[in-house]
Amino acid sequence: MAVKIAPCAAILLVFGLQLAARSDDDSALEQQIEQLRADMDAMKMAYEHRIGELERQLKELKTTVPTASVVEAASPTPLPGMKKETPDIPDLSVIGNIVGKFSDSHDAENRNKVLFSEAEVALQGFLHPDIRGDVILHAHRHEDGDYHYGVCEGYATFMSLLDAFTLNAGRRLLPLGKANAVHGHHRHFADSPLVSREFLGDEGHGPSGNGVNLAWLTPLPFFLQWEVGAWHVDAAHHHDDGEEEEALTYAPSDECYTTRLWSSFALSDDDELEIGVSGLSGYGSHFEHHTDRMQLVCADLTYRHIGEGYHRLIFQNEFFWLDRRVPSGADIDPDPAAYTGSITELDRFGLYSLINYRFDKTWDVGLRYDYVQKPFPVEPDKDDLSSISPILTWNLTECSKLRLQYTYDFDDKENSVLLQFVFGIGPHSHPLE
Amino acid sequence: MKLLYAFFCAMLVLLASTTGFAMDKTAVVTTTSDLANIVSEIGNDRVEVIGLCDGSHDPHDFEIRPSMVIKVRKARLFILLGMGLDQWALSLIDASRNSGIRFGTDGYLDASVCVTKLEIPQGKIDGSMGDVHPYGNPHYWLDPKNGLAIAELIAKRLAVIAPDDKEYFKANLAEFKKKLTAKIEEWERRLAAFKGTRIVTYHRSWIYFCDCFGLDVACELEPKPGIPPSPSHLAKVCETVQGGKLGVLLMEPFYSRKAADFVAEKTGVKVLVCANSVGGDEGAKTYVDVIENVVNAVCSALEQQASGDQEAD
Repeated sequence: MAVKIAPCAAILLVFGLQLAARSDDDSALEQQIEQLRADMDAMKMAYEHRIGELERQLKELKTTVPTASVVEAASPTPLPGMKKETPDIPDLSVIGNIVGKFSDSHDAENRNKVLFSEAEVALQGFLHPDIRGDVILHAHRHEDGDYHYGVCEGYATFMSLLDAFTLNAGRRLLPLGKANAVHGHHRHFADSPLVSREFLGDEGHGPSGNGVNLAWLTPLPFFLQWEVGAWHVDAAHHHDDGEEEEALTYAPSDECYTTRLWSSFALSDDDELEIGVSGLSGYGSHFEHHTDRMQLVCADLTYRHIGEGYHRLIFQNEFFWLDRRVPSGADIDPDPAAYTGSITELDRFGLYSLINYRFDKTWDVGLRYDYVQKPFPVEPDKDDLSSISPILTWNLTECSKLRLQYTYDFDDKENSVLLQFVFGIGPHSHPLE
Repeated sequence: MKLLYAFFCAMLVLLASTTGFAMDKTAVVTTTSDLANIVSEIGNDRVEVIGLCDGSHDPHDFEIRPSMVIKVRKARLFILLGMGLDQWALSLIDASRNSGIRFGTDGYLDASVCVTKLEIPQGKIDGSMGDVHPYGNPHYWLDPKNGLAIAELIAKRLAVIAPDDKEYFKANLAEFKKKLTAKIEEWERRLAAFKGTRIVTYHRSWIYFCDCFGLDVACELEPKPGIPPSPSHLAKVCETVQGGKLGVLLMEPFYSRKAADFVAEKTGVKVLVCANSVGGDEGAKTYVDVIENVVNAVCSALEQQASGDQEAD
């Protein structure tokens, strides 16, 4: 019996040991599985944490910085000149104007040269909720080759006197017509129209005066603004020392009074007609040497069509009538105050007509015709000037453009090409023009 | 001289009549047609609203005209998008001499104050980065949830301008919010299947829309904001589209289709020209229409792409 029990016990022992060993293996495997599961959970948590962290960082990058968000979310966008990042510092901008001139006339000024024609530095900002200050300094290369430095404009604007008037005090471009009140870099052409050059002495920018200008927005159901101004305009240079003949430049000088009626009618949602009449009464640039009174009337007519997308058509015309009074004949250089001799009245006329079509976000084309009778004692029909200029402009960005302008001068039979690059850096604004 | 005297007298009579405008309704001017539409939803027949720039024009590049001065002069409330997008409006406000709508008054409302702004640039900004807006990406109205916030802001400000109509505005606001919220839920349901889908856009103007509905913008046709597409950049865009199997290119109607068609021809991506503002196309008559049309177009294009992929598999 004992013999029989012993093998059974041994079998049972072996079987038990095998079972025990198998059970140990199972638990080890289970432990390994558990461990892997735990590792996986830990890894998952770590990855989720990392993803969460990255998402948080991404959101932070996309949204306002948290420390500033409370204030920024409650504050409107600051106006130009009110940037809160740089308190008390006005808007500062620089405009550069580079012009290359190529001509088949050997007498042409700055022929076959690329020149930095003009730099403008503008400082603009608010002084009070209703008062703005604008100072525009410039360095301008005149045709004599010298750079002229100065204050192009520097004025305070009292924006809503009696909710109907605006007062400018200081120095600014004379409010005459359309082109004269616009800075050169804002125009649709690379040079000044002949009539602006001959009647106003415009060599890239119109004449500026020191004084005041009051503009009244009339309470009519359409836009009608009436402006009156009193100015002291710097005497335009026209004589060199020892030079006896008058240089052929002419511009308003000394005391001048201006007025402008500016009206606009919306013909439809997309069409607008602007009509303006301006007048100037004052002295011509030779007033220091002899009697030189001038009256200037300018009528401007602009049609604008705004098409779909970026399409836009402008047809802009300005007509100038100049009445200049100078001493007659050879008696040309008396004391202006004491002069009692006869006076010659010179009636002169000039115009330009511009059509400009923007056909794309970046491209526009234009054509300008110029005509002017020179404001000097010569027969107007024998000494008039006229030209035609096709213009192509590539607006690279909001604040830079490249322009190609070809001009044919009908009188000198001169062909010239202007290549202009205008750029702006920094926030820059102008009133409604 | 007599003529001049008569002219002065006539002008004085006109001056005396300056305050003679009858203002039965609250006159509101907005820079964009979307804001105008939301104002009309809230103010309905108690307001007279004019939106200056509609969806057929680029609000970055809008040309103001003198005739608009008269509209702005009569306004008791002037609403801008802000963030530098519609800065052109400021010279209109100045020219109007309307001191009631100047910055800092109740009549001046910058709608961007009520939204979380995306992509506020950090550090120096200059032209090398393109036309980057220093206060962040300004196309926030394309997130319809921001539309809710804008409506609430406008209702509150209208109540300040015309307190007698406060309850009327409040009721209209509730109605508008109910309508828009239901639409947002519907749009979210429809676009839920496409969460994480990458699309291409022309300008970086659809960020808020994509953020709202979980879409991603893979790249833009413009190499930098406001800079026209260049051939080398378009080649990169084509690589991105082909590599990522992107199916949708979303753009506004005022941009030229030339670059988009080039990419479509090379890659097969579907070009969707959608108005991003009221008036941008015939179907975009209201703010809700604008978002709905974009959702419809995107859903339809992505569904087509998904079914095409299934057939290919």
